[in-house]
Amino acid sequence: MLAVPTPEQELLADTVRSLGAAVGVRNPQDLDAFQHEKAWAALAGTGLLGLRVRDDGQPEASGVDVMIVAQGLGAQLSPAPFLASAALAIELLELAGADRPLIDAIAAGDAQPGLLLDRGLTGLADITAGDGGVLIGGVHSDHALALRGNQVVRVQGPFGPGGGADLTSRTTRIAPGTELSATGVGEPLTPEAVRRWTALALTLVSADCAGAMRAAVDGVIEYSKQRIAYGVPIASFQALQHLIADAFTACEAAVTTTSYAAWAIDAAEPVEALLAARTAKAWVGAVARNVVETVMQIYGGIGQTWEHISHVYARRALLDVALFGDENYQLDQIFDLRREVG
Amino acid sequence: MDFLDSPEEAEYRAGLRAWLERLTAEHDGPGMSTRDWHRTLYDAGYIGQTWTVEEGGKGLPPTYDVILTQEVARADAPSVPANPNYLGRTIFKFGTEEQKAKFLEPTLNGDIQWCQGFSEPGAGSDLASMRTRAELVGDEWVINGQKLWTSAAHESDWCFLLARSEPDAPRHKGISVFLVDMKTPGVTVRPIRTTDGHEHTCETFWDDVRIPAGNILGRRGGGWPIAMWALQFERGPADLGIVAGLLKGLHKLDAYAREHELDASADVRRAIAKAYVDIRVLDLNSVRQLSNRVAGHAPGSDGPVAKLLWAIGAQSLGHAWLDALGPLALTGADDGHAVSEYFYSRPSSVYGGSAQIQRNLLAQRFLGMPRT
Ligand SMILES: Cc1cc2nc3c(=O)[nH]c(=O)nc-3n(C[C@H](O)[C@H](O)[C@H](O)COP(=O)(O)OP(=O)(O)OC[C@H]3O[C@@H](n4cnc5c(N)ncnc54)[C@H](O)[C@@H]3O)c2cc1C
Repeated sequence: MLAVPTPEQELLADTVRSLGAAVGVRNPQDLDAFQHEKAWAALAGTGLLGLRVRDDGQPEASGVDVMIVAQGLGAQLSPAPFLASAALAIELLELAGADRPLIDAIAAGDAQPGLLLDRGLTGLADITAGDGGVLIGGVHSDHALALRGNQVVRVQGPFGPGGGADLTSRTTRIAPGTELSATGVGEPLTPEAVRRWTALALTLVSADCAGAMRAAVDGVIEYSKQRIAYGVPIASFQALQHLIADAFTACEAAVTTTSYAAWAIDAAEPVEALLAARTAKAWVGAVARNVVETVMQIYGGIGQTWEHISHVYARRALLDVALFGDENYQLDQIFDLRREVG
Repeated sequence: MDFLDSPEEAEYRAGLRAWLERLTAEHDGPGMSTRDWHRTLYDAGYIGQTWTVEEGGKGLPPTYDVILTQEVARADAPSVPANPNYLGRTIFKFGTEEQKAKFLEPTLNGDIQWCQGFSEPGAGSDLASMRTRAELVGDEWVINGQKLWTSAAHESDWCFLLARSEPDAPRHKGISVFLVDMKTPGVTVRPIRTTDGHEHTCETFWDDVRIPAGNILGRRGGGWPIAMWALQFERGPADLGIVAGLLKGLHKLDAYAREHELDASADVRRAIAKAYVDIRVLDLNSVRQLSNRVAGHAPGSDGPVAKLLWAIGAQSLGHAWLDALGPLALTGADDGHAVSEYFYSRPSSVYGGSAQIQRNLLAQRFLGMPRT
């Protein structure tokens, strides 16, 4: 047992950090100027898009590696849809045994599929229901991945402009009854494959949220040491110290549970991996809103303005909490999974 | 203890309700501008009703303002304007005869809309560290500096401004109140967009703003106690119609949930019910606090308790919007309304004295706990 990142994993975290402004935003004004193609090329250039590509059946990088990247991009509030359009898209295609060119195109940055989720955002949409759905990660692409029963399908766009709460990751609503042109990709997924994929999805969303929360907390810690009131830094008020200490603890635990879930992706049985991922997501879902609200509170008035970064963190966290199910959703599933694991 | 209306209050309530119903039928009441609504309430005798007869009011007990805000919310009309009570009263208490003659009537009838220029970039919670200067040059005050969070400055006629006029005096003793026409040259207003996407508040810049020497309220260096006196009125929720606004928001959320058939879900039902509880607590607390005033009890800890409950109620409603709409809200199915309501609720624990400041006040000033 040695639950720490390897030197290579530390290096990976540094790589993501060093991409900096090319893939992330520091303030809301950066959003308008953000260059999606450049960011995607930067991620492709460093090989990050293809981490889950299989070589001889083995993923090039472990669940922990992808988790580290997701956390790093969350911390930088990256608008690049790494999670949906690269890591999860490739994982899905690999699990379905899709043709190599499809997968390689994503890894090279040439294709960027979105994911079509059900309207409750709890998982991939099953298009047989004709219930429409919500597209994530696909605002800059013309196709998305979804399910028809347990068959992975490629749904042809275009899908219309994105919107929604998160300014860094736009969603597109597809109305119920919308005629979708879809073609099957690969073989039907086994129940085990569905579980593995869901575990990765939950883990990466949790990692993204953990990264964003932690960066938001780090930012306000810095600010609290600079901002003067009553002749002293506001950081010297115990009321704020306690708020920050609690938020920090919540973040630490989010990283812990997410790390275990990421390790379990490759190392544990699917049922245990799924339970681990739901546990991480349940924790993140329970704490995230409170953490980002605490951050906004400590910034005081400035944290209530559109021009300030803190609502950008908050909005990202709010969407992350909902993606693949919020806390209550996870708790319902966890109750049953626990008994199954025994 | 009696939470029900006295016969007089019941009569007043019935009259008010009938009037509001007529008005809504005739004018489409909720569609009025702030100014027109203010004027309409004034013409019907509802503004300043709890001021003493000497102040130009009707001398009604403050519970009548509770009834007013309750009925206005019930009728889904715009909130009762807050300015007259807290700034009008302040001018009445501290103003010269000339100032009263000039400002009271238009403040009451809505011809003058005020903004409050207290906070600065470097002076929020610690208001007394403000730096905006006022210098007496001949028969004019010359004002220089910057204010932040001057809410509604872009829609206001006059500013109730705090500035440092005695640079050598101790912090709290060097501040004066100035009444400034926002059309005076040198006043620049830049609206600030808040996280809800709207522009409620502003930055204001004061560059060689020259105002008549007579536009100081109270004595030189006597501004601090005047500001505190004004804030005490700003902080009573009943004075501001906060409860009315929150109840209106709750009705809107409830209507949305019904229309979109969200209310079959237990989570949604609980979220809305929870907001109701928190708002009702604020509502009843303000009834109890005002009853205490009527009974002649001193306000004591009422201010901080009311402000803390206000933030709880407002933020509970914000949470209810998010929780009830869930993915619909996050994906913009409601055109961003719920998320905007949520963010709108967040500063309620920041403005008017932050939640932390209220807790400090409560603990240290009213509960006898020592400062560290
Ligand atoms: C939407 C909005 C509208 C506003 N409208 C007006 C207006 O019309 N007129 C006006 O004059 N002002 C207005 N304000 C300003 C408001 O009063 C200030 O934002 C508030 O006083 C906090 O000041 P600050 O923003 O400088 O934060 P700071 O004072 O810098 O506070 C930062 C953080 O430190 C905490 N803190 C500070 N001191 C202590 C302490 N001693 N102990 C523990 N914690 C502490 C605060 O609670 C906060 O969390 C408005 C603000 C907002 C956001």
